Amino acid sequence: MGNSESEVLKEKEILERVHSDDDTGFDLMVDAFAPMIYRYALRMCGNVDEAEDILQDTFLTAKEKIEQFRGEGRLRNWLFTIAGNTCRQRQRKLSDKKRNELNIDDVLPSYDDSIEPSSLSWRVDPVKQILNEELKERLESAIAALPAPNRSVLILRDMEGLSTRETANAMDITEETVKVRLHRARAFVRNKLRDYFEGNQ
Amino acid sequence: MSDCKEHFEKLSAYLDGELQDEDAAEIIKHLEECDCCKTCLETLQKSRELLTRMPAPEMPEDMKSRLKDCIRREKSRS
Repeated sequence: MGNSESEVLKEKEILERVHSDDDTGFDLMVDAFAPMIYRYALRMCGNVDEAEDILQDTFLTAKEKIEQFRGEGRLRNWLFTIAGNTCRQRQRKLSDKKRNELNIDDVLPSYDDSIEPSSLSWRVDPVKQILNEELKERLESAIAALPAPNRSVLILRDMEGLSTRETANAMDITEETVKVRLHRARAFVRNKLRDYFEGNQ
Repeated sequence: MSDCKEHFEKLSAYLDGELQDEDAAEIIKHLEECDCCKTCLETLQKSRELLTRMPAPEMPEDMKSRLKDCIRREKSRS
């Protein structure tokens, strides 16, 4: 679901049914949002079983807290907020120290890593190569290697199509922080793809 | 090159059309003079396109029905 008027109306219908204690309300919510929450969870954790657990926890939390949702923003974005919190809580529990202890400045490229006078242009059109397995694997591993806050912003902005403001609301951060995290994440992905594209020339 | 570092940090916002007019004009002027930043912008743009078009992982077919059952069970318990 994107941002069209019909989608907003659909959310309204879902909420009306949920609040009237109609069982079909949550069924509709699952039909509309489970695939995108699953995609987000899978891209955040990289593990199918864990993604299913995050999906389930997200919807059970939504059910428990639905009365707190006042409808000021999009239901979709509220679910992303819950999913993001669920990912963080599970990550803490799993004591994924390697990932948790990543320092953004140690991992993400700075200006000096990202721009060099000799930087070659990518003559190969990457968009035509999206189905190339090697490229897909490189992209996936680059996304997985990002620190979680940057990965979350990148997924919401560039892969799920949320606006800067929606991403800021979903992650409870400022729009400026979204922009900074997104730029560092894109620059990181770009650097990871550099060998692939410049080696193909 | 002296302005490159400052401009580099704004390239994504520029790509997304999220800079104030004044900042965007500065970037445009700099790009006209700096091939290095121009290349950087192009490769960032291609990276963004790849991310946008990356095939989405499919959710297993039975997951929706299992999730609905799980929510119903929780509902009847509460």
